[in-house]
Amino acid sequence: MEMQTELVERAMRGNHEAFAELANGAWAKLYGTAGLILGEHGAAQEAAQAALIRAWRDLPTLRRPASFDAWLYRLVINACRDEARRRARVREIHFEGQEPVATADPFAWLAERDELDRAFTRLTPDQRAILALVYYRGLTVPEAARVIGAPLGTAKSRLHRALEALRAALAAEGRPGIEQESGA
Amino acid sequence: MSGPDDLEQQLAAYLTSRAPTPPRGALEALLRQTAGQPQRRRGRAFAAAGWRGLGAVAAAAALIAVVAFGSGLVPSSFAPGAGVTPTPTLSPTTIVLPVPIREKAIAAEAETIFADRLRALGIGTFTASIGNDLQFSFVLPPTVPAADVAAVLHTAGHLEWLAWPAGLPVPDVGHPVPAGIPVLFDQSRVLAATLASPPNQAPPALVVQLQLDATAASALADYTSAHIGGPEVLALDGTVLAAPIIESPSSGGDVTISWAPANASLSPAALVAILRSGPLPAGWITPCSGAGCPSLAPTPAGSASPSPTPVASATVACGGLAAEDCPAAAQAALAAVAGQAMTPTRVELGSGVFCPTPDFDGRPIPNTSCPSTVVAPPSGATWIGHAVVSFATSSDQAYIDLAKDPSGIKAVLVAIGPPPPTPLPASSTGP
Repeated sequence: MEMQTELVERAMRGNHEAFAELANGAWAKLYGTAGLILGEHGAAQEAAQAALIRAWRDLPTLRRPASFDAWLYRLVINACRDEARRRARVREIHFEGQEPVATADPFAWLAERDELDRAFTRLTPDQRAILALVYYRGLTVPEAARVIGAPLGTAKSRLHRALEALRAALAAEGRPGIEQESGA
Repeated sequence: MSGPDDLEQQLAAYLTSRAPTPPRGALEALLRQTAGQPQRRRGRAFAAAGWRGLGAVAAAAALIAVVAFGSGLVPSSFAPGAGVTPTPTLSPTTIVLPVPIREKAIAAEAETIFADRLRALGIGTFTASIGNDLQFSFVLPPTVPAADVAAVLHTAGHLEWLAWPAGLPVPDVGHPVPAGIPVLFDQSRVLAATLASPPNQAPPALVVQLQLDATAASALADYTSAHIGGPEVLALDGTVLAAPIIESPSSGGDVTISWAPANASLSPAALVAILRSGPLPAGWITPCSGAGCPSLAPTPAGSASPSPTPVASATVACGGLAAEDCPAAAQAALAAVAGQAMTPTRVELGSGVFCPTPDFDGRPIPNTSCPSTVVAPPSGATWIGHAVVSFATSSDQAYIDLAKDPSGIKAVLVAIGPPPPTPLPASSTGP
């Protein structure tokens, strides 16, 4: 942790190599989190890139280097929100050009459509965000609350509702052994 | 029944297996981009003359940076040895282009042509979007020649060979062609436009080779035979692109164009891209196509048009601020962001102030001073409230504290950043 704090401090002073090292360590998880929330490769890339660009630009304004991780994940959650909102209101045209399109679609798993996939898809982006932070990123609920900028009680409630919604969706899929519960 | 622990365990494994992997090279490209970008410095900035001064300096710099289209473009056969390849510069990731018309069919056709031009520049993947605010937003890869992109997005693409009247002076390159000059043929007669690098040329340079159809080749042969010593004038969008002196008759329908060193705004690659796609539809109005077009300059990601909207055009919500303070407070807030190169669209005023806490999240506290007194009002002034300024093409907002003294209202820019977290929209794309 001390090493990361030192890197953050160097990056805050404009050392791009230090920032690159921080970005390398965080990139896969940032991208994965954005992908789970937004569910689409292009959107995930936009959000993850926007978060890192903002991170580099705004690093000198970070007051506590130790809070870098939470701050970075807040940036990616905000970027996901912006991207989701933008895609909801903008008619978007994707052009495929001369560059070869990658054959290995990182989102090919979306086509598998098993029960959990379908259930997770039914959640709101808000619910996917809290689940991704806690069960993918491994944050505690208080840490996740700090990232999403919500009081602890709100985060707990959101997590509970997300799990309930997931459970209900699984029950609706007729998944054996899953019943809708009334409590956590 | 499956208990919560079971589901949570399944969920952790599921999310880990389902989280997408970033594409190879994406981070490296991103880091190359950020390496060239400045960081925002911490600190507060007082509004008033300082920001206005910065805005004026930025505007002057933008105007100085504007380069006229088409200057110095000369056919190589008449200017041997002249030619440089414009140096590609790092591009921003987003270029905003106003859609100047409301006819959907025309906008769609223009969109297709822009796509063709960007492909011709070798830009394989990009996104164009039309929002409710009638503008294209082109999100481009980090490393593209920004000048080329700007050129292809702002050139209608009407290339004409003119039958220049004997004795009529030819305007300088880049200047408008007088009305009434007969046209020999136009770009519709160009069968192929290719980039080439002539051997044994020092310094190495790219040229554009055009292949004309038989009709144009014949017309050009006839014209050049009859006008030895006269100008062969090519016009692009009504301005002189090149006007070499005819030394010998043209034959075969092949034309080579090379670049004079002074030309840095329209590269050979950009001209080829424009010619390959054909001109923009007749109903399309190129927002600005000549010298003095600051709006042509690409803008950084998340930034608005570099042509700032007049202060008066932003809407103002007075909120909890005293009504008599509202106009002056709004003006002070807008002055505080005048140096941000973003177009303010809305000013929301209210009571309470923003405190620059370590994890500043854009929420004002209800009283008029920060609990830890980390921010003090300007000398002799007292805090009266806050302002939040929204911008045209960025979700960022400016968070400003407002103070009042006998001379008026002063604005203190606390931060520019994303809005406070709010629930995600339920209608967004799902996996």
